[in-house]
Amino acid sequence: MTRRRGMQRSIPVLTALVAGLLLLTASARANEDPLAKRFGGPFELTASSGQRVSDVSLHGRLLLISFGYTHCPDICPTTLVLMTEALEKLGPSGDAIQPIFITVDPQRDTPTQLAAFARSFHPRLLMLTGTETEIASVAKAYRVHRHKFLFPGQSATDVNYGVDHGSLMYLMGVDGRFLTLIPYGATAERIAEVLRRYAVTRAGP
Amino acid sequence: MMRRMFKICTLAALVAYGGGAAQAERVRVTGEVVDTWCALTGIMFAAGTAHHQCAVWCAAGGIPVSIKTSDGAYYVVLRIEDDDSSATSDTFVKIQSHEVSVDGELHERDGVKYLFVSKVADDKGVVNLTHSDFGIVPFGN
Repeated sequence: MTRRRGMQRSIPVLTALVAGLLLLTASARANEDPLAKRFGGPFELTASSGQRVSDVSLHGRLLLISFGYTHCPDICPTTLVLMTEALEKLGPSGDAIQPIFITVDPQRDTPTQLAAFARSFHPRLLMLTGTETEIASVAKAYRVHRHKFLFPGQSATDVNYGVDHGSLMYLMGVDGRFLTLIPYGATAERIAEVLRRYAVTRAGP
Repeated sequence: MMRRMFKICTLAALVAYGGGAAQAERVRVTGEVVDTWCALTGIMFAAGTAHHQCAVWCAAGGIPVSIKTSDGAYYVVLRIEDDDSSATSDTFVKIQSHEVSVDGELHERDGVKYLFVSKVADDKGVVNLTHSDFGIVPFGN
């Protein structure tokens, strides 16, 4: 009886030890990974719900991040459809991954605009916007180029401008460090294949 | 009991650690310096003199440049010589669209090739003359 009680008391200790070791080893792996700090960094943005979200508040989840804007006629919706399909292919293991869309066009992409746009895609898609300074900072951290341009015949005051921007998808680890990059053009099957490897172990490369 | 706990923790640590990061491979890569986004999305002209100005803007804007080899492979450049702080550098902005040979470390992950360039061994300048195909005035007016 005493022995069993002793074992029961040991379970939380054991759990804490295992968790500590997992974090330490994940950190050791990230430190020796030459790619870990090449993309990404701290950010604080506003979700479509109006809540403020930071990189730290998302720690503990794998993050699948894409950049774009809601007025994008082709690349952004396509990317989000592929992201949605890939996560659906993963089934329950996809729950470990938080899909995120960060706007490159904070002028037009208000939280309300983002919320309306998100309805067409994955139900857990987190849509983020911010001030021009916040978006410029996060774009720089992820090495996302963005460039506002006008279509032929438009004036400088026209609100139907376009935005050139990077179209890569980034998978970030549970500690916020870069894991892998998914180039534009990957199929939903290929994206799922890459994600599955990380979603199952929640570990680095 | 403690011994068993120790064994479990050690096993968990080993599982989490796995084999560690893959070893880098020393390589020489020859190809055209392109901006990764335009080249991969296939927009505009995405290569050679017709695309030169756009490529420079992208590189200066922070998009990682790539070296596209003759077999169509892309090597995403994450460091160039001593510039460890940025994916791009003045060096790479200046040699956009050039055909270069570089020496460096190759890290491959999930089919993407990442290159840490230690030295630009050869620079042939712009050799992919695509501007006449598209009626573009190369390098601006």
